Amino acid sequence: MLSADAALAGLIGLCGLGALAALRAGRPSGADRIAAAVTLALALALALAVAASLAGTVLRGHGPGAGLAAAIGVLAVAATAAWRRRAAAAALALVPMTAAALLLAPALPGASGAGLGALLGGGHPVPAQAYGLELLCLAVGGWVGWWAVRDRRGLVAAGAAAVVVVADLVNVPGGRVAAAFWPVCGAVAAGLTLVGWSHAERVRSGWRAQQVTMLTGGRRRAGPAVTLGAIALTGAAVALPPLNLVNFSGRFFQYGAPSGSQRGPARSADVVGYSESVVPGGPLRSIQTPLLTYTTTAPGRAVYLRGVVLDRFVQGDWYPGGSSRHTAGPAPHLRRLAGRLARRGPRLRDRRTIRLTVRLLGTGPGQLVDLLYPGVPADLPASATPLVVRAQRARGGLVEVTAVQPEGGLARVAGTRPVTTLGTISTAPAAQLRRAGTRYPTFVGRDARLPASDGSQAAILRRIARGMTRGARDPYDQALDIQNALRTEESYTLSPPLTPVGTWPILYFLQVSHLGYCQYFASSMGALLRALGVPTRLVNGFGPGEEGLTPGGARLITAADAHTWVEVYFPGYGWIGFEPTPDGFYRGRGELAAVTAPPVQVHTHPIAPVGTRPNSHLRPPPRVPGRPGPSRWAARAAAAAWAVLALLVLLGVGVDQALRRRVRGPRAVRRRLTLVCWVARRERGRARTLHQLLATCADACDLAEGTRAHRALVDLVGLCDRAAFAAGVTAQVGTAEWQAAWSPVGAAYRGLLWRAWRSRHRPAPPRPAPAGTGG
Amino acid sequence: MSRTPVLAVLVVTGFFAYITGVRLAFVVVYATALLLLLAAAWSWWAARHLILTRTSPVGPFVAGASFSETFRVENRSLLPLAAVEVRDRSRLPGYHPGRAMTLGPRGVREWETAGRFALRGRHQLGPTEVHLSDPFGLFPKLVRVETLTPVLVYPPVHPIRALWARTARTGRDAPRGAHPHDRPPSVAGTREHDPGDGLNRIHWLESARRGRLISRLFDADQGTDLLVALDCEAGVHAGALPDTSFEVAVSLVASVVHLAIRQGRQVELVANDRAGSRVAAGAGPAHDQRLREWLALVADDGHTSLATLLTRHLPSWRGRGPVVVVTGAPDLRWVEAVAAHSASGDRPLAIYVDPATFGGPREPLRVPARWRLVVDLWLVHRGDDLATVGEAGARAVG
Repeated sequence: MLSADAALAGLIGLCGLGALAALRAGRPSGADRIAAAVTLALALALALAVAASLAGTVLRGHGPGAGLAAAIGVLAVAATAAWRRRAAAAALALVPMTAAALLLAPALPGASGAGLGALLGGGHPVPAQAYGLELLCLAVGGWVGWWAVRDRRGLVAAGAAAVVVVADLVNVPGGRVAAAFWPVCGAVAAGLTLVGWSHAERVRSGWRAQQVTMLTGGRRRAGPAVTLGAIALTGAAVALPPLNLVNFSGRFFQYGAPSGSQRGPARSADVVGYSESVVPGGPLRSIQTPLLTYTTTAPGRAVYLRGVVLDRFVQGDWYPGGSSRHTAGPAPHLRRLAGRLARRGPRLRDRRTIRLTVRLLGTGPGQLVDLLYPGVPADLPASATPLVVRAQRARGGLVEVTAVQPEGGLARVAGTRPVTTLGTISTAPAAQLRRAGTRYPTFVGRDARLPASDGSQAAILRRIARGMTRGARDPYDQALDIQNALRTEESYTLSPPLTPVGTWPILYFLQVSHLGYCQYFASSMGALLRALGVPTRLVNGFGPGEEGLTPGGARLITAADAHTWVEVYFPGYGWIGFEPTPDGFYRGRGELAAVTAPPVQVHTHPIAPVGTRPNSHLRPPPRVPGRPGPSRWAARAAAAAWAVLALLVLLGVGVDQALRRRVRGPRAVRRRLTLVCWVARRERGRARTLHQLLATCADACDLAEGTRAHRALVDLVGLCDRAAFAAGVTAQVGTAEWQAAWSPVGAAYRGLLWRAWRSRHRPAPPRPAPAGTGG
Repeated sequence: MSRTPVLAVLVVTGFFAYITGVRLAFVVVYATALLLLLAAAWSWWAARHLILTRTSPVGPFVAGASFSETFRVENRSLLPLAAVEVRDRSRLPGYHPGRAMTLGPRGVREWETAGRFALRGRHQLGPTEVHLSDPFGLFPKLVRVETLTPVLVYPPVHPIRALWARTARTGRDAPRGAHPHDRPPSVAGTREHDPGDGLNRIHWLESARRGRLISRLFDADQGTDLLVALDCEAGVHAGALPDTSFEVAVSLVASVVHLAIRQGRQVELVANDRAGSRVAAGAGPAHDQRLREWLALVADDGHTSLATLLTRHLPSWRGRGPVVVVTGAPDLRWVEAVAAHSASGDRPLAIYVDPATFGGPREPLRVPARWRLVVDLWLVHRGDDLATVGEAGARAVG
């Protein structure tokens, strides 16, 4: 990966190059010399930075994407700057600036106290460095903007604002752009205002130059209008939802960091285990550390062991909700939870109570903090340890319990004794759940929507969810459709690709990588259902475990059985579990035994063969796990776009070189003049003499007699006449003479072509009447 | 600001936003796209609701006369316009009524401009263009008001006192013997028949039309005829507009003609312009108007020499009245032609506008003494007061 210093220097230098291009095209005088000196220094920094970037790309053996982008960008900017097209140069400068910005992003975490970023950040960790860089980029952008306003260059002003925006975007640590959102929006509005003001000043200076009489008064009305217009534009832009929230650039620039609690480079994978939150992150390792054994009264004797409910959704991650906490015990007055829930909570039908007996093993009980239940908690174990009950309260009473946590963890309660808990699971058939309706109780209202601050991501999720649930008429079918879509279209792996900075892992999972483990699947399903307005939450616990490994028919739970699944609320039936993780993968051991037949209390739907479902045409065929699907086309399209861009640049350079190649005879001169006539759509052909072609070219290009270009063309045609018609020694035209005659024409030839192009729609002058036709 | 760079920025930023999925980048993209949309709508809407009213003078003018126009620009939309420029495409030399201004919502700006018709000829006031743009300069608009006000500017007339004194003896009080008998008198109007009127005075066509006898009224102010020859040969005159010897010559011809018409003469005008124009002899205000209109439009674009012109017309004019030649040609052949075809007793008047003083070739006019006996020659230089041409002390030759 490239160093932060080189990328930063490149960014600054490119800013300077854009300003330099504008400066060259203008007429600097007096105070502009200082600006010119600073600009030249920045351009020098650009050259060094690009050299360092390219060297770093080549020497460190990384992919060609960064180097290619940098090379193309620099070529384009240099070409347009040499062409003295300041506006085009400034616009094209944004391309390498963007590339440099992309390169800058991964360098931030890696700077680690070295280089210019650390110096600016005062040696502090990444966020401080990032803000230091941002400050510097703001200063550079501000300087360029000031220069542009003073010189009335509206586009450069907008480019400066764009630099500020890009710098802000890439320097916000961890992709959390919320802190920088409004400042950047302010920069956008300021940039638009700068464009308007600079345009007004340019128009007025033009009036002064042309000595147009200006009517006084009324000027104050325009400035506020421009400002208000810029603010309104920015406001509207902020209100519009983004078309895409997934960082595809990770396909081309291999950078990024796991989000959530596992941020930072994934030097080593974490271990699968029970946790109090769901933060889809980097790769995991599965270590089968035995934790406990259990027996139940459920049919089949296999249940999901429920630990904690996660109903708070924060930017793609899930956390336990802010439900009321109640410390119970050791007094037994709260033991009969089922009774209290029945009295205060909604009446639930078709539920069965299951008893779960858990016996902790000696290894690794420290990570277990919550009591494990076979379903919705219905009772508290007899314990002398105070229990912290996290519960939902409504209308002054307890309506549901989300977790029970002994102070000191589960081991404090269990010790070496078995712990028995009661839980209820639903036995309602699918037909009843389909008829459950959508009259949800108030206390699940917040579980049926995504946070308002995530409006744009919610729109993306809603679009995906609607694509998955076409034809579904009730929440149950919607849940089943989403569950089955995830189980068939996404692939399970403990080593998902890194999520680029600034992207929600579930969005990257759903749109790009299609690779993840149970947290990706469950989190995605929960978010998708909430985007549709269905009350959903996640549950952390353990899968059914394995049978037959311990005596007495107990099932063994290891750390690798830690699992996340989804619960959906149905009015009258309560929370019903769903399993979006593909069969046989969620435990990470490739075993199908426990889940070939769906475990009880988790609703799954038989996967129909592709083509038999009414909406099967909307879904891609199942893919081989571990292989990304449709995103490959995006990558190929992007690669093709880069290739086309590179070819266009090469083609442009080749054509330019061909046009500048010196001529060595009258035929070559005729070809050059004919090309100009062809571009200008003027009369040409073999019947026309060189002088006629010259006259046509001069007329098409508005070349006045006596101008340098016209004189050069006349000299060149005269040389052709000598070479073609003169006799003897004087007819011999040497190479040096051709070169001397062509040199000034070649320098102006591209300009002639451009002027000829612009004169295409101008009517040609009438041809003089042939002699002898008059009366 | 050009739209192309903005589109380039939009494409680049859009690509960046799409591959990175950063919402802020989309804000930039949307802002750029909305900027284009808003700017286009702003220009379109403002152009549709901009009203330009131009009040121009009408009627004939004399070169050098002043005039004034009133412009009124009204913005009937609620969109302010930061830069509005009104440009006049009249091509009237030295006249720049255009203004630049800022227009607020429903704003009105009105101004009055004063100008001067420096040149004779047919001019037009208008068309008028209004250049406006959105506040960001992305979509400039041009509103063109094609209303044209044609104006005919006559050449200036100077009271040439010497000419008045010269021609007074052949004016209204002079005997009419010089009037050719083959030319009927001009009819000035009709009236009811009086029993004392002769039969040759009855206007038979009008009588038949009205069903009763109608008599003709003859112009009572008829004097001797005057032939004026204007040299319009290309290359004879010199100077740059509006200060050319040809303009002075035209002004002198207009003065001579106007004076002769006022004296009741029948005036015929011939010129060697490209069309070989000839305005037949006539008298009265209508003929004066006709001559002035012709003089307003005449140009020195002829290819026939003045000598040829005079040789062609003077023989038929012989005996009808005096001849006035206005020229700037130092070539003496025209003097020879005038001398050869002058009737005895008539001294043709030649007014020579010296082109050398207008920047032309310095060729002095040398008239042989024998021709000075038959031709009166007045010399006019650049900057001379035309009212004093031919007076004692002025540059008179011959």
